[in-house]
Amino acid sequence: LHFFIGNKEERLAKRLQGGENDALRDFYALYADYLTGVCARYITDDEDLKDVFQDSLVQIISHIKDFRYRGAGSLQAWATRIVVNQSLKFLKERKQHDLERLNWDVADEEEEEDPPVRDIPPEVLQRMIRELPTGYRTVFNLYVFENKSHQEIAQLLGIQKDTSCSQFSRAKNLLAKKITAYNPTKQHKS
Amino acid sequence: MKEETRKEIRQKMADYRQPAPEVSWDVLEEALAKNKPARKVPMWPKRVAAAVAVLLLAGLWWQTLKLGNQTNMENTGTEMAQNQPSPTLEKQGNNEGDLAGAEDSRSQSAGEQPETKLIQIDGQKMEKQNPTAGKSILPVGVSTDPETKEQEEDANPDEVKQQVTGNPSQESIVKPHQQTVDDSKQENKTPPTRQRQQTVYPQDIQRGGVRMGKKLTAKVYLSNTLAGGDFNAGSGSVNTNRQSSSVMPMSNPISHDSNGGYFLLGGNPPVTNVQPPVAESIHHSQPVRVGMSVRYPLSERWSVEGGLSYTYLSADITRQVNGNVSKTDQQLSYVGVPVNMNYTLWGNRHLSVYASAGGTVEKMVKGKRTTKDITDGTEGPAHTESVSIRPLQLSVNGAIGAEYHIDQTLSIYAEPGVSYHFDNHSTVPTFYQDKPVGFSVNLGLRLNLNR
Repeated sequence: LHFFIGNKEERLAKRLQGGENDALRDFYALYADYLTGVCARYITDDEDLKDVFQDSLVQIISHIKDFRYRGAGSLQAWATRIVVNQSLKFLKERKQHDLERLNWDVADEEEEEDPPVRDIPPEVLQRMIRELPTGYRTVFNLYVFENKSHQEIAQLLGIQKDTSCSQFSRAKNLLAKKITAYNPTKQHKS
Repeated sequence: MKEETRKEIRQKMADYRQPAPEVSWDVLEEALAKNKPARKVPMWPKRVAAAVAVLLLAGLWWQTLKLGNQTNMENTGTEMAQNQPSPTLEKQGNNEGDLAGAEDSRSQSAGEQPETKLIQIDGQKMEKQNPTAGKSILPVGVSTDPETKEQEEDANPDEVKQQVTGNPSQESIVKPHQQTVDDSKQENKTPPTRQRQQTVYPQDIQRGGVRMGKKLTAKVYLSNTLAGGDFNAGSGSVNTNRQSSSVMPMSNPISHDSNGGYFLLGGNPPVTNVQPPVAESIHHSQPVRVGMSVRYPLSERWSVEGGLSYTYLSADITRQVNGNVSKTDQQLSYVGVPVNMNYTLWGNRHLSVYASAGGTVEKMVKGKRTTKDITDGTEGPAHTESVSIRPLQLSVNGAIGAEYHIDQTLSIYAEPGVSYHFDNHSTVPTFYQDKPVGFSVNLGLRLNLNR
């Protein structure tokens, strides 16, 4: 299966590199909804989301020639990185204040258990992540989804490594509370 | 957070999708359209190739005319010519300066140089002619009309003009003595060549067996190219952003490693500058070229050469992303058609020295790239992908060659030279793109076939 997906991706990338309009539609059909999901984890305002997503697509199209196919899933991974970079760029430019808060708004919290995510549907989890404050959310996303170390996050956001750790801890606890609050509701409903 | 929780969240959200917002297709299509020109690129190599061909033909025709004239003059005696004007020398001066302006001045310049001078410096004159043609290849290719037919049509009037305006002095010299020869030339364009072939040159007799005369020559050769300047520069480090504008670190996500570098734009220079996310270094091996060609003599000094060549380029590309390394071995094969004009500078029975200039059109026919990822010192499995470069690779070259005649049919030669490869806007890093100017040494065997 991977072979066919990979093959399709490679051909799609080549068609985009060749400037085919149909390829643009195909790319959108295949990846737009997924990439929107990624982008929405960083950007919560709908208008901003629209702008950042549009800019991301332009960046993807404009630089598709730099893409080198490296196996099945590589086109999606490459496009995802552009979306994340574009989102971070937006936050850096427009939400600098929220990111800077990370440096001083540090609260020591007791380490709690990991949030019990097993029974949470993806769309609910997505909503909960989006409800986190911008700074915490950004750190959380980079750590969990982009597999970044706190050292890397610190470099990316221009904050201290310790700050990244404690902010992540805070984000995690906030999320855990939301999930705990959600689970009884769900049980109650059922 | 435990690693399992991290993975669990990631897996849960791996297939999460939400409806994409409306996008502006016009903007996207505009961005996409910018990718298209690469497809159009193959058109201009054709134009340049056509221009080269036209120039070569024009040069050949021009040379034939001049040699025909010279023959006539030698046969009729130089004393007749001494006080006669000649446009030819003046034309040469104009050709060196401005080819486009030459046409006008050709008709104006008749009547200043004594004919004797023309004969004495004819050797130098012909030497100069070829570089002029070489220099003019690109400007002419660019400035002439796009269609080859139009170029040829443009060129034809010029050639006719050379014949008509270039000959008045010739007519004035020759007419009294060689009316019939000259008339036949006006009626039929080929006679000058025929007549030249029948002529016995005094210098040919002195030179013995060296002149190419009426032989068709075939050769096989091997070539090795050195990059211009410091060859070590062939391996160097470049940031992957080399093709990007200032707003494009996004090209960096092309790193295949999942820990690839993210960084922010603007706002915080230390963050963006501290660590280039993808470092790429390329080491090109020396290209190896083998080929065969056929040389066709145009006169005792001039010859045109065309053939087929095979070139092998290989490069080692190392990409580094946050400590993770991938090593790529890239191998490209080109098939090319070289076309050269040669001019014999000096020669005796065994040895001859000649100058050569021309161009080559090459097409990448086969390319592959094998990549190995090295993560934390552990080498991953190699994966191979094919590489294609659609645009043709054009180059121009000049060389000085020395040829040793082993016997009447076989000779060996060495041709040190310089070549310049035009950028074909391929995104694949090649030796030609990274080192456009290269020194090369062609070594080969040449088989001289009697026509």
